[in-house]
Amino acid sequence: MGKIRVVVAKLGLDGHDRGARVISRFLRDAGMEVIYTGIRQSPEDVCRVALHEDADLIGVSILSGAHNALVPRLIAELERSALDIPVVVGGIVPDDDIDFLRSKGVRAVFTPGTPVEEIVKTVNAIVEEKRAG
Amino acid sequence: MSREKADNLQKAKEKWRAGVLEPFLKKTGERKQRFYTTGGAPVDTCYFPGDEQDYSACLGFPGAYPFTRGVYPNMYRGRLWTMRQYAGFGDAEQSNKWFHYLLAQGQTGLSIAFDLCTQIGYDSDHEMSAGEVGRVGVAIDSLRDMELLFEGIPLDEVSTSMTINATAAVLLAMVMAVAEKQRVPWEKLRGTVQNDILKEYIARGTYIYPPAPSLRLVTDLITFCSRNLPEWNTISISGYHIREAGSTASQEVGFTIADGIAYVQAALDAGNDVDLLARRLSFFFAAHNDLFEEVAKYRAARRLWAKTMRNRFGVTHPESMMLRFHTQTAGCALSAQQPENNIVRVTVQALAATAGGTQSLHTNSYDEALALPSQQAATIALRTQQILAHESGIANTVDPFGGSYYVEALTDRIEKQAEQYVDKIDKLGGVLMAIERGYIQREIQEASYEYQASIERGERLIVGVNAFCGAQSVKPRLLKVDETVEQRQIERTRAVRAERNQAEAEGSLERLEHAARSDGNLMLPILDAVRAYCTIGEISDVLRKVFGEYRDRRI
Amino acid sequence: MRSLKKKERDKLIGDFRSGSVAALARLLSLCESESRSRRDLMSSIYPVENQPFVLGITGPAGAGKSSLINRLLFVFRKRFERIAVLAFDPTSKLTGGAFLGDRVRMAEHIKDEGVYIRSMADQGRAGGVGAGIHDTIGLLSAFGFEMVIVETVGTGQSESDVRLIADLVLVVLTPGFGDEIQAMKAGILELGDLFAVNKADQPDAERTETEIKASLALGRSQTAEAPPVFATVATQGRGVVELAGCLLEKYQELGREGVIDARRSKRVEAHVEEMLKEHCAMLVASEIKAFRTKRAKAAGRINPYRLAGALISKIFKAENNAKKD
Repeated sequence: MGKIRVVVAKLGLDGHDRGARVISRFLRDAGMEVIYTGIRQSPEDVCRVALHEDADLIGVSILSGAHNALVPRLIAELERSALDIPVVVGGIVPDDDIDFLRSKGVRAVFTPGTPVEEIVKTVNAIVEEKRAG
Repeated sequence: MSREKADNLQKAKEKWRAGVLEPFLKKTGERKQRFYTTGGAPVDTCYFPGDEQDYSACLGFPGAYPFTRGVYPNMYRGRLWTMRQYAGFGDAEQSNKWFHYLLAQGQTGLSIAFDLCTQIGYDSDHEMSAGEVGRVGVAIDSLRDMELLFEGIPLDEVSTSMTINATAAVLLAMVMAVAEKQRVPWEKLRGTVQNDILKEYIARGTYIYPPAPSLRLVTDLITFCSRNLPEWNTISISGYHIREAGSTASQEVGFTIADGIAYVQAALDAGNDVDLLARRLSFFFAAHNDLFEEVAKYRAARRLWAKTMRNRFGVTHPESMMLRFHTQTAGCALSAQQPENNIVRVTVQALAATAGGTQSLHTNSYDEALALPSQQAATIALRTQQILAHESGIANTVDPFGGSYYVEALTDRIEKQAEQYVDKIDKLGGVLMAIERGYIQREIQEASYEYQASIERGERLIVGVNAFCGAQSVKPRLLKVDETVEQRQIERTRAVRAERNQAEAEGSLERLEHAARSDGNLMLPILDAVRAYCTIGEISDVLRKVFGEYRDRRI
Repeated sequence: MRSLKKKERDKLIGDFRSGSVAALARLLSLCESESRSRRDLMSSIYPVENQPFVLGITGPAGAGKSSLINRLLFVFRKRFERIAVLAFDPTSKLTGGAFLGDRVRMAEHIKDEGVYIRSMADQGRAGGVGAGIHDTIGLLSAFGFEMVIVETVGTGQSESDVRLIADLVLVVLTPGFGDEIQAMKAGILELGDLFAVNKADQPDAERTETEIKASLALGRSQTAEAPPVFATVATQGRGVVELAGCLLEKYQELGREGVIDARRSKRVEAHVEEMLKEHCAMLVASEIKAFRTKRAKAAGRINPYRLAGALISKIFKAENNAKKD
């Protein structure tokens, strides 16, 4: 059983990486291997990182409100690269947008204040489900 | 206090501790084993008069060194703080309408938020701008947008604060160009540019160039304004974003003052007069939930800055030692769960800021953990300030918490810790070195991790988040940014490029490049490019070519 | 992860052979894991004809290894079509997790199709690189990379494994690491074919350079040439072109002298040795476990020599039987 490998990505121009960094550390504490991309990544960049790193899951952090434009682009890029990697999103995302993102294939959305425990549990469940095929 | 009195007090305290407190604690216990401030300082059961504090040296009088109690002698009895709500979204036309609304509601100054493309020097049609145009603030590509933004707003009648850093010189040049068109002389322009690039590397991430040329742009702007825009605040040294990135209150003060030292030094090296310079500096802090710690923080910051200016830079004029500051309530303290609770949080935070003697204040809207503020939520936020100002009594006297044993103890503690951070940064060779080595970023990361861990462990309760989660809350009506803005903005910018005098535009960019390669002041060459309707992306690209781009290498 | 069925294995190897980066990435994960199917899977990629230039880069954490690689890549890409970087970070002993952030410093290369960057955890192994490193390099070689850069964990402890897997080792140090150099000297100074004093814009840089040169000269005979020492500032790119040039020269020089070939033979030797040890360790562990569950006799009645002898013959019998099957 290999370790769960998660790519934590800052998509777009937003430079606030407190959330991404804190979550990365908690995922590491939960026994995962976390690959952090740094800020200002385009959807195409993130897709390539996930490809190189054989990621089990991509966690996108985005606070600028550009999620509706950028996250579907990431998912389309993953599809184009024939990569079946689940995507979860953390950030300031209104309810309507959560529905929209889920309809585009995002597996889970975490808004500010979500307990880390819940995020870890969700990530574990999604990856286990995928690995079980 | 006399020696004898102090001894008596000490004895009485011991007696109370042994005879009253401890038996009581044995019987009843306490809610927690230890109590801490939000910033992690241990808190005692009760505070008592200190036996060492010298009133004149430590506190002094309002409006006088060391300014612990406030920068003006009568504070809000003369003039209330400026209620300055940060606003801006969509394109310039939409934001202009919003500004007119805010001014009509009794707001007394404008505070402009720009979208990330504008902040990072990308035009709206740049590939990295996709999805970001008009999101977290207004999109400004060229002078054309700035003209629309200030349509019907005479620049000599409002003060304008702009949250802009890496591209501050360009945006200020645009304001100057609009002033020319409105026939308002530059000397009458009042306002602020944030222009604090150091904290971008530390905490906020909207940098463009490496630190050295960025500092040159900062000082070019400061130098230019000291000669041409005497009423303009040329930098707002920001602890806010450091706090939002997860620092403690002491770190917020320490790192911000260290940044301030670097700017003063850079401006002095560029030949500025220290007194002229010091008077145009302002600061920007957060207001978090811990009322007493926050009040203490502002007091400690004022005292430490006054000492720094006097002892390190040898200024003699008291006005040059004053730390004037803007405050914004803490965005990171807002919860997406039960968002109405945020109204109460913001009230407490705003109380801290005003009790702490802020010069201006932005109160967050309760829906900001969910989206950009809606009009209803933004109005409540402004009303919160108005209630504090006119109904709470907070504005009736200076430094109302002064003399609280607890607040004085916290003030001393924060000042001391902040001073230790400044010393440590000095030892590392200054702020630039400390940033380069990742020291400051690491300290903040540790603090933010520890903060979150204490929530996860259940030691820190956040109502509606990890405690009292029961009630379903009403879903607020959220502001939606018009999805057509991006396309409209792109079309406008392309039209500007097509309609302008191309030779003039190109010539101005060439002159800018030439100036950037020499060591002359860049403000006028930038202004020329702005007047020729060059875009922010074009201007920034010229500087990228000369200065290179910064990359964050910290892990 | 389920163990792979034969069909999936064949598809994966097929995709890998036809140049799929996804298949490469998957296989690299698999050769880190302990699964039994790993051996068969990896066995199918050998022998590998392509022998890339394997450059090991080691040095204490914070020395700027990743930033230096970032700059070196720009120079090396002019020479090599395809380069792979393996960046190792430590696995947390407490949680088993790892934070892998080295690629942040190499983000400039993300759009370059000729650069493959892989973040790896060391799985708690001492030595500076992770388990399965031989197969990892085997896979990258078979995939056709012309150069493989291995960045070690940088714990400051002995990272001698890098010597074993690399054709050439660059040691990166910084000014102000004086005391640590003293502590590490025995190990790290013997490790390097080349040395870089990075962050050379910081105070004390020249002194560090002199100290290193002196230490390197110390243990050598008059005729033997001491390894070169370069001053670099990775964040600004200073000294990087010179360093890269010297690395390539040294690689060619050692190639001509037959040293590279000798090192590669040693690498295969170490790989085989590791497999043997691993296999034996597994057998031993299972016998010990069996012995423990029986626990038939009291300690005072056991002759450990006779018991070990009996178990060894049992192991070999079992092995021979398994082969006949």
